[in-house]
Amino acid sequence: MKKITFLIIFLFTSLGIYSQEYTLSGIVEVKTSAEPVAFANVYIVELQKGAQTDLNGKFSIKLPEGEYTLKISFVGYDDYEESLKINGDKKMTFKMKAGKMLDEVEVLGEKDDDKLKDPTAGMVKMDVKDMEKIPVVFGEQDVIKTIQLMPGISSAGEGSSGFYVRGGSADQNLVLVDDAPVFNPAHLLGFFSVFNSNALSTVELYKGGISPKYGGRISSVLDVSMKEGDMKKWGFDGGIGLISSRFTTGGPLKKDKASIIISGRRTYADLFLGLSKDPTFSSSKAYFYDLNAKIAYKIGKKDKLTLSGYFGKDVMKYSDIFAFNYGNATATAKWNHVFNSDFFMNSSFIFSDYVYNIQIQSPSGTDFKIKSGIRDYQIKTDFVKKIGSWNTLVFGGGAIFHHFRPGEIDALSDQINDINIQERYGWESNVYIGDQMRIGTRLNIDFGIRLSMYNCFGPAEEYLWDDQGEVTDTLFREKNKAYKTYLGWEPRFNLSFMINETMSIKAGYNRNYQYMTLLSQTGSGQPTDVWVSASSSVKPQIGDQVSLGYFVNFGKNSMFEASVEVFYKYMQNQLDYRNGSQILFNQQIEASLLQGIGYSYGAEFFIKKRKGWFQGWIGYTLMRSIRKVPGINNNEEYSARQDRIHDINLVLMFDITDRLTLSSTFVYNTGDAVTWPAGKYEVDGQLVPYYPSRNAARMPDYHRMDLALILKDKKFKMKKNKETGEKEKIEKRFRSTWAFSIYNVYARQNAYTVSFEENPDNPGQFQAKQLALFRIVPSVTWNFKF
Amino acid sequence: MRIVGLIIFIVVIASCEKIIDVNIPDSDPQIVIEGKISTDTNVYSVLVSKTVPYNSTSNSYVDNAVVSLTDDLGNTQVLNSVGNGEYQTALFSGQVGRTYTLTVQNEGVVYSNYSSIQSPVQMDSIHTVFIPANTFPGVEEGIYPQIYYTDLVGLGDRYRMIFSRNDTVFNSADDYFLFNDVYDDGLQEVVSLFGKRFKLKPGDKVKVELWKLDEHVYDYYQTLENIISQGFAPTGVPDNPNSTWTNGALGVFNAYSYSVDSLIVQ
Repeated sequence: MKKITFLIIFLFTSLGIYSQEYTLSGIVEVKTSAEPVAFANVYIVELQKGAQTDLNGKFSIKLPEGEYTLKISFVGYDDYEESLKINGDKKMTFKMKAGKMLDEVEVLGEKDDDKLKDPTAGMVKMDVKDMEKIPVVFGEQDVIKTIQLMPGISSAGEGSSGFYVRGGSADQNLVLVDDAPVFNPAHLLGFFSVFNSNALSTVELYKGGISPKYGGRISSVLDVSMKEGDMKKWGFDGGIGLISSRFTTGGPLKKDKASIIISGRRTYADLFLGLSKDPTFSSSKAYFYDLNAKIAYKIGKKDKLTLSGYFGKDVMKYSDIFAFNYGNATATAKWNHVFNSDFFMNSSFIFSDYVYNIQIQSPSGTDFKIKSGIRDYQIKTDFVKKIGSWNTLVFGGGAIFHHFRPGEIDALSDQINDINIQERYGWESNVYIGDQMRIGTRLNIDFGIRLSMYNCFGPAEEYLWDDQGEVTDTLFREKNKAYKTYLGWEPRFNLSFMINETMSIKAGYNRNYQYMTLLSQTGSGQPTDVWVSASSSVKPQIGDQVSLGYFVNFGKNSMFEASVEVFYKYMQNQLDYRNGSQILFNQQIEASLLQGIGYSYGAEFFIKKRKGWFQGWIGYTLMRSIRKVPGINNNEEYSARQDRIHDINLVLMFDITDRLTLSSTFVYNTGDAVTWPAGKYEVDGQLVPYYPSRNAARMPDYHRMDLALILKDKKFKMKKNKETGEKEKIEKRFRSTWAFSIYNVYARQNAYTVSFEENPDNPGQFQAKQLALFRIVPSVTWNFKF
Repeated sequence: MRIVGLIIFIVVIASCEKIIDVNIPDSDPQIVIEGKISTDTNVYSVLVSKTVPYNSTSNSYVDNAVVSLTDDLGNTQVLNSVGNGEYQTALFSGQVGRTYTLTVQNEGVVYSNYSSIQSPVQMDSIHTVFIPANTFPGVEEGIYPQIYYTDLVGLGDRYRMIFSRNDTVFNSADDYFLFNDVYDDGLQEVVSLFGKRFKLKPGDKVKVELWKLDEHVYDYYQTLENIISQGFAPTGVPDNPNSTWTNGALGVFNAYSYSVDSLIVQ
């Protein structure tokens, strides 16, 4: 506690030196719609001082008395400039006009030196509009697929929505949509993510430098926010593709006061199944859908309420013998309050649920249903307070109630008994405080601390077991009583120093606690993976990361940006499984788990051309990710599955004409570390593979190239002016775009799985068989907006 | 896991398979011991060998080990090498309720394992059923076997079923019929073999053995089946079967009882 008191005293005593300063606070909105503009850059030319708008379009800057030129810029909008006289506190609303080149936005829209100044090393920010040009599988834009093209982030497998950040596993990423966690961000086994790009406004991913306001996962935070409806007029947009279509509509419920937006998406490949004459196929189904909705309501000048929700589901059915569905549902109710120009508050109630259901009717009459899931209820409040011109204080707290339902089997015939894997309950609560200090024009420091606490609540049965994982005793935990408490101190620190106008260095350290772990059968994420809570025997994961980076802009008008970042991450209490563990429907799953340490380290190189008719980037990551778990691999170190030593991403985009863009991506990575047989032997008349060590072999290297061609329609049409009789150019309201893409252009057969089997031509000999999912996948999508 | 396999199969129609060359780090050969005794046979066998590289076509038998079998009353028999890694002795039959210990000494290392013979469970009956066309998806019209047995009341019973037709034992990676009573303790069980390869014709002779297994032996066979059955999706981390041999030897020691039933298809 002493430390905190000291911290607070330190913060408050360093203030108030510039007593003659006034506050300029404002909201930046879109001129035509009153939608807030997030992440716009506000800049005082004379002082070389700036601020950035928050997600609600708000900003504030402390200024001494005087006359200034204020500039606001944001990608896709005309720069806004205004002369101001400051002689007292001032509140203003700034209206930005959509730029002439609205459709030709730059990738990662930022001001030239934003990235240099931001102390958060390891942050990737994306405007959803920026993703349009990047080719993706099945032609569907996808934030997760696009973010996987950045250094330090790699896909968990062909077409997977899971991703690994700096050597961490896929469940160590906190995936948020409007503050609500999404437990399984994948549709259709990962080929689509749950994020319908039509419904999203901004995407931020932190691979390091995680703010104290985030917690609960040790590797990264992916913070996605949903679009708000237009407050002025109704609009529609959508897309029609070979596999799926989507449609979004939004507009004012009450002009300038309340808005709504609804977005939906569904795949329809399975509709063709209905045409089949074979009853097995005509009664089969395979589709998914998404629904996003958000309502925003302004109450007076100081308050705003938003209500947003996401609902998605995958449905699969094979005749009458097998039915499977799974999906996420989230809801966020958020209250936004402005105390004064220097003091804001966001308060939310959040709900998130993931569930899967399986129904099986087998020919032998063994019919049963399976149900499993996880549910969170959360409250949280965040405050932002500016103190003087140097400090921005962020503080807040919250609590989450986790309800784990690992699975129940409901027998529908008498050849099987009901089974119910015990449910678990946990309270995760936290408080945090942090300060963003701007010291002069060169040095920025963000630091803070988060205190998290996890309580396991009964009723629960816990087990004691011996070295072999055989259960020896059962402990009965009482209802509504905390039987195990964990406390986590999570310090966070980031620093950036501008060496000169085009160069900066950054350093960071952060510690995170994670109180739940996904038990995955494959490591790449399956809908049937199960979350397990921390408990008396399963200790929370702890991640510590240090990173150091060098950032530079160069070329004409800072046309290029480049960076080198190095990191080291140390992870405690990493889970692995005892040999031959049963993950699904195991009442005593904890006895099958082993915990050890993991560490990863690496360097990320990045260079990007961000202006001109030709844009793109190349990223290279050199990395190792190692585990050491007692009881596995003879207690020796072994590679984590995601130990991909080399990872290269290349993205190129050419604007051939105003209407035509050609783009290409190339990815390469070292194959995953896997366990393959080093030998074989015969037992029980069978040829058996021999596995002496864990993850000692490598999958074949992965590489692939994709192409996309985007063709926009004409922006203007000619129309006769009734009064003058002359023809004039009129901007069209209905706009459309054709997107043609080819996934895996040179038809590389990338290994999805490799299995070993007896050679049919030479019995007794093993051979390796690779399964590749795709050769070449062409697709076409027609997008429209009006 | 088969469920996930099925889903992937439904979704991915465009997939393709090919045989590839892989580079696997070398490792030292490991000893493999397989011992099998039962209540009813006079002959029992112990096989000792070593692992060979995965793409090798030869075997590596161990013929100079010292092998002995001891029961829990302290009676010991020494087994003699008969070549090709096999060890045998004179007449022997296992007793229900006894625990046997098998010991193998080779190159200065002693490996041992144990197994207890459980009370046998008699099968209720073997039936044949006629399945008309289009009754179940993927099941052809024809005659198929169904086996009934009743599990003993109380958790912990483990079974393996051995199916043979016209004196040919089904012994592929797909023929591990292993049953426990975790979900169905004390109930009557029916095992329906509706696969194409179990289709019967009149005159066929069906023979079924129901082995009653020691729990760790069942665990061995189950993990063995996991490893050798080629699923569409990899089933977690590949590993060696759960063996109770000391000093890291591979293989199993199975002391079991069994019941047998047979039927001529009408």
